[in-house]
This record gives sequence, structure tokens and C-alpha cells, in this order.
Amino acid sequence: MEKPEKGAGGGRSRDARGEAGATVNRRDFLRVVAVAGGAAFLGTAADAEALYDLSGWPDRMGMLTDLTECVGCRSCEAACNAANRLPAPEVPFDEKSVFEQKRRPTANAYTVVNRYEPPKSGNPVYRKVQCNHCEEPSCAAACPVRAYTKTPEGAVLYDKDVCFGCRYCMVACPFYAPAYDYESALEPRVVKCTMCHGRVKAGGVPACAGACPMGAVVFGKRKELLSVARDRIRKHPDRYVDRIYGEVEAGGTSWMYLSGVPFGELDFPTKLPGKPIVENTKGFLSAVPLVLTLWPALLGMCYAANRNKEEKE
Amino acid sequence: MKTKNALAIALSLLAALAVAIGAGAEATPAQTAGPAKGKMPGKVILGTLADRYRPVAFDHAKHVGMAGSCAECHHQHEGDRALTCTGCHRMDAAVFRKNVDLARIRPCGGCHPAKDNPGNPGMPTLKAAYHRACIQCHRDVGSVGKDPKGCTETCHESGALARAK
Repeated sequence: MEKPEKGAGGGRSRDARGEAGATVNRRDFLRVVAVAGGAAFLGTAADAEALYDLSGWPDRMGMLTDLTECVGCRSCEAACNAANRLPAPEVPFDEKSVFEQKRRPTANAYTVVNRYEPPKSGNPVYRKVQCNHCEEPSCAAACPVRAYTKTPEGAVLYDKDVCFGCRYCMVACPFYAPAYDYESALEPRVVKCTMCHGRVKAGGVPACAGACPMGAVVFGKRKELLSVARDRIRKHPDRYVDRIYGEVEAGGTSWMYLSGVPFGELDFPTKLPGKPIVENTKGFLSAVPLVLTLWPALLGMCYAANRNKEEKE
Repeated sequence: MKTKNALAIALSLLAALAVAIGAGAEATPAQTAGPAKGKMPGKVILGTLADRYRPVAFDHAKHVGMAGSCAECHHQHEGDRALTCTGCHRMDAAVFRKNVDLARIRPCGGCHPAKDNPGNPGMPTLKAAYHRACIQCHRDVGSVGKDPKGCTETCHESGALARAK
């Protein structure tokens, strides 16, 4: 928010400071304008800030997937299918032929496991894919109708009742997590992992974590998982690459990963910024309502003043 | 114990045992073992967690010969685990080394909880502990740990049990 504004917005801010007094910073100015102008639009700017601040939720939960433990049994897929009452898959969950191609989560499978055979790894490496439940989700930022909510439990939830199907979230997600239910003609919706929010609220663990025979998917407080992950890397530096994927990627995710091979070899996006993707646009977008409401007024005043002058002449 | 020979032996032994997933508690030493103090268990039925598969018949005695050290599985000394010395040893310094009280070595279920415990994500569940301990060595046997069907090659019977329920 504090970054210098570009273009028209910046010019506007400087003008504003002149009017409102040099000691007023931009954020205060926004608030003043919001009240004075009664611009309901500006609510979005204020909320964008709130979305970023997770300090009030120190106990939010997360997941840790240890890719060195996963043996590709697909128990997590089966458990997810059952817990979410999804239709039976075309091929059974103990079928290995699915590994012949890389899959993405779909409307009927909130999580999928893909197999990789990195050159330096003796055993194949299996990667479980699902929504990573970002700390500051870009799907939520992109959604025009606020169908996405970051919950205090850590999960990012989707509300199909407000969604009107623009699918901006699918474009915005750096992990290609949200899927679209193309099968349903009357009530199409976006679908994705919910981190079993209902089960968690009831004191349980997400279905995939409960089903994993290897403890490769573990549920717990995010901060504790981070310390567990750091501990494992410290104790077994030969087993893990020195990186916890999801600690900072895209501003941090609830779902984090440990791996024995570089994450790039497992199709993880490795060039994501270490800050929320929302930051790229937040400054600009929060200035839009301001520009839209104030510029017409100011330009109109200029026009009126000049016209009066012309008339006098 | 990690030679191919040993693994081949392990495979044949385990296949013969028709071990099933269950991954139950070893806390129930089977008939042959007898809970006599200071004696290692022989065959152990791992059955408390049996769900999709039948209880696992684990031949503890056979594995003792192959493991080389109790700590391969009973890893109480690893890292900074807060276990007391007297949990396993009678503290007579003079004969400390020879004085491991076998009856007090903990089974997996002595530390690893049977139920998911989100409050302590660093401690693997009993199910995870069993699988990790077994697959650590058996992952190179056949296709164990390499494809979904490897589960029934060495240890587990088919999933008929749970579905029958």
C-alpha cells in the first residue's frame, strides 16, 4: 500500500496532500475521502488491507506434505473422494496407469497424485496436488463478487451461491488449483479442495491426512508445521533440499512441502515472488475508485472555472 | 541387512507370513512370544488398526536377525527425544551396556499415537510409524512403494476385509 503510485493515481495523491495538509499520509487521506465522499467503492481498498493482515490468526492451521515419504498409494485421493461424496472415478484408486500422464485437480477430484522420475532419485517421487490455501489468496483478490474467503482455520473457501462463473480465480491461481464443473449446465461452479473445513471445525483432520499410511500428509498449526519441517531438514540434510515450499512462495501458503529433489523437477512453480501476488495489483486497484470518483469532479471544476473565465472575456 | 540377499530373504519370509495392512498394535505379543520379562517377542499380530486389511502377522524374531540393531526400529535414542534412560535400562553403571531390559523396550504404539493428533504434528501416528519402519527397508523389494499395487506384494492381503464389513 505504501508503494509510490504510478501515473495518474500518484499525481492525484500529491494534489491531495496539498489540499489536506502535508502531514496527512496517503492512507489517512483515503479514509478521509471515503467518509467525505461517501464513496462505497473505497470499502474495497480498506478490506484489501485486512486480507493481508493475518497476525490476528496465529493459530491458523496448515498441511505439510513430505514428498520423500509418499509412496503413491493414492489413499489420499480415495479418502478425499469419500469425504466429499464425489462420484466414483473412472479407474479405481489402486490403479497405477493414471500415473502415465500428469493430472490436475478436477470437479470430481479435489486432489490428485502425480508421479515423477527425477534423474537423481532412485525411487519415483509422488507429488500430491490440490489447493494450497494461500495466506493471501490471489483467487480471492481476483474474484469480483467475493466468492472466496480466507478462514481463521487457514482454509480458503469458495461460496458457489455468489459465484457467477467468471473464472478469474482460475486464471489468478499460480498453482492451477481451482477447477470448473463444466459438466453441470444449470449450476456450473468452481470446485477445489476445502482443506476439509467442516471436519477441521469439528475437531478432526482433513481426510487425506487421516488416510495417508506414511504420514506424508500431516495436519497441524502452520507455525508448528514450519518448525517440524525445519527440524527434518536440519536432522537429515542429505535427505531434503534446503527449502520448505510454501513458506514464502506467493506470500506463503497453508499447504507446505518438503522434497528430496529440487522442486522445479516436480513441476512446482519455482519463480513465484516471495510476496503475495495480490501486491502486484493492490496499489493500483485501490486507487481506481479514488480516481473514478474524484477525477471527474476535479476536472469538472476546472472545466467550469475555465468556462466562467471564457464567458467573462 | 540391507544387502539384496537379506532383502530377498525378508521378502520370502514376509510373503510366507501373508502380512496384512492392519498395522495393528504390537502391544499384543502373540502366543509364541509370551510376555516373559526380558524376552523379545517372536511373532506379533499387528491388529489394532486393522481396517482395510487383515491384521499383520509380523515375525519379530526373524527381523531381529536382519536388523543389526534394535534401534533400526526402536529408535528411542535418535535425536533429542525426551525419554528417560531408566525406561529401558536398569541404571547400574557397572554393567550398563549389557543391562538393557528387553521387556521395557517400547513397542511402536508406546510413543506413536493410534489416532491423528493435530496438536503434535511432529509425532507420526502409529499407522505412519509402522509403514515407515517397514518400507524403509522393503521399498526396494518388488514394487513396494513404487506403485499402488505394491502394498499387497510383501505385507498386506487384499482389501476384502474392510469392504466385507
